[in-house]
Formats: sequence, structure tokens, C-alpha cells
Amino acid sequence: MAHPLLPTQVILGVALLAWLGACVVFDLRSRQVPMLLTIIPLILAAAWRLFQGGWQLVLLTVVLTLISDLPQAKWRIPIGCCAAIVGLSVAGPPDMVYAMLVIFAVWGLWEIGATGGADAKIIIALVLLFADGMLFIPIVLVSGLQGLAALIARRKTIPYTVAITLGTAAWLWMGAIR
Amino acid sequence: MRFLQDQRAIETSEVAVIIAVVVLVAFGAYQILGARIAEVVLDVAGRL
Repeated sequence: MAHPLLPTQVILGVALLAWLGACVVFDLRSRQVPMLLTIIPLILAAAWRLFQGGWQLVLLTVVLTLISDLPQAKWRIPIGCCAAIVGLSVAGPPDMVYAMLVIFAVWGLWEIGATGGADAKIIIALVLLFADGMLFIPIVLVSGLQGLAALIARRKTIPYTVAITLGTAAWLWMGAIR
Repeated sequence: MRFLQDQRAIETSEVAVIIAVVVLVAFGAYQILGARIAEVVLDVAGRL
């Protein structure tokens, strides 16, 4: 039986979707999301995760951010991989392991140029906020459908924030009815 | 910081489809074989 939602959960959900909606508007207009709309939520989510317990996720995010500044591009992914393996060894419960895998995967996709930095930061902020890597599954499924539609329409890229917003909304909705 | 300063919000269509398929297959396999995998891991851990 579903538990009734608390007012704070409703406010958090609405604020989250409003933020993601603003990101979608910028993405559709210019295929860019301003840094303020990605860095501030990322910092807030990291602070929340530290407060709630989950320093491993925050530390991995910081380490991967630093690794992306290494001058030798060919070493970034292998070093990032080592950082993720070390992180997984101290991850703890399965939710934390999934969350760590998603943070590493998203960073890796950005590092190889498959996804934009704004998208990567938004997803990592969401994972830090909820500490649940399962959030990535609906996002990936929606982006897959979006990618398929784009391939049929012979477009090379898709606005990923649409998939992130719809996937997050679906994940919140599934959590609410559970 | 390169990662924090990147404002691009795009993803390659092919990559989106490939990742969706990989995640779907991995999640499906885990749902079907999850209990067996745990058994095997515990068995190996026990032997060690």
C-alpha cells in the first residue's frame, strides 16, 4: 500500500522538476545549460549527501572532477577507473554501489565526448541527492527512445535534459505509488 | 576545472540507444540471474 506523501517531499519534487524544466528550456534553445544551473545544484546535492551520510559518493565526484583536469588525456579514464574501484571497495550498501557506478559511467561518457558536461553534472547531482543509481535506468530508457527517434530522423545528437527530466519524473512517480 | 565549466547539453543519438540496450540487458539479466549470482559469489567466498 502506498504511503501518503509528506508536504516536504511534494515541495522537493516540484522544486526538482522546476529546476530540470529550466534546464530543458535552455537546452532546447541553445543546446547549453548555464553553469549556475548545474554547479549550484551539484554543490547543494553534494552538501546534502555529506549531511545525510554518503561521503564516498561526494569524494568520488570530487576526485573524478580533478582527474578530468589531468594534462595527459589518455590516462584520465584508466585513473578514473582506479578511483572508482577504490571507491567501490568502501561503498558499503548496494544502493551506494549502484550510485557510484552511475557517477563513474556518466563521467566516463562525458570524458569520451558521448555526452555534454551539463547533462553529466545534472545526473550526478540527482544521484548525489537521492544516493540511488536506479534513477539512471528510467533516464537511460527515455534517452534510448529519444535516440532511436533521432536516428530515424537522421539527427546526430539529442537534447539529453529532456530524457533526464522525463526519466526523473517517472522515477519520482514510481516512488510515490510504491 | 574542465568538467565544471562544460555547459554543453547534448548526447550522441547512437550512444543513447547503445547505452539503453546495454542497461536493459544488464538489468534484465540481473533480475533473472540475481539470486544465482549471489549464490555463486557466496560459494566462491566460502571456498576462499
